[in-house]
Amino acid sequence: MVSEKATLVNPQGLHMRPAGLFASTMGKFASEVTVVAPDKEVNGKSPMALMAAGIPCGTEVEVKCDGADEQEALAAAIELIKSGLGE
Amino acid sequence: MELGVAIAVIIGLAIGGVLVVSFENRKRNTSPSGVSASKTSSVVQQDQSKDEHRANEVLVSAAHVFCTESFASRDDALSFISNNAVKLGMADDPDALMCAFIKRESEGSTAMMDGFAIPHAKTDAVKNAGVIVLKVTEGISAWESVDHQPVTCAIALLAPESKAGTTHIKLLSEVAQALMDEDFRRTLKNETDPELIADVVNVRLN
Repeated sequence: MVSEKATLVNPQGLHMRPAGLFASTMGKFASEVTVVAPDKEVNGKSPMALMAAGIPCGTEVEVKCDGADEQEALAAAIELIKSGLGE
Repeated sequence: MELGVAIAVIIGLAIGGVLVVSFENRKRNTSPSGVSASKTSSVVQQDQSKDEHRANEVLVSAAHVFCTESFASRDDALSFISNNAVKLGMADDPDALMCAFIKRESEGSTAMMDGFAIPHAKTDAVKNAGVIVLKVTEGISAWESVDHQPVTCAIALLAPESKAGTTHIKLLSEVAQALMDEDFRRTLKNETDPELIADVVNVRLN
């Protein structure tokens, strides 16, 4: 299992569009993906769970990946978050 | 005998003294209304924070719930929502609302799964953030969803653009949490009484 922290830079936080992008990107990897926010842990492959987390802009999250392609999954996740999740 | 009486009197006096002191202490910490001063202050603060919370609550009434038969298209449904949002005083410009809804859909469909969609309009045409629930018996097939199911229930979120990072994401989070609950989804699908639907949604939003 590998993990890394990154800060959400999306002005509107992890709303539907970035949540959907993150989930669909992570869905391409075999590894389990978990997003840890200060008071919750959610499945990084579920757009609904990510939206339900309601993570605002500026929150430092930790992404955990566990599986055969965990390194690639983690790299993709952190890159996505740091680049603003398509926004 | 006299010594015994004296000891009994002393013990009695001592117990009486302890009782008096303890009664005086309780009286000093209690206000005339019977509630302690520190607790009164704490209760007032809690009431104030509750009032502030109520001011920020989004409340869905039966008037915000629409049960309809069908719409020819997704845009017809969004137009219906936009016009009714203005009638309800949530916004002052139905065209601006419609533009905001369509713009959002063009960035990616808000139809999720199991027949639910969460269209949202983030525009300063929205004066009072809120939620409109639209149920469509026949379902809207042309509203592209993740699981390709026709949309039978749209939970529309309306928020001012300036509140996109706060009110909108809070509403979205609450709606998403609700939609993860199978009981909530089942109730919204099966229920046709706007009053009951509003009650069920309100519990989730507040």
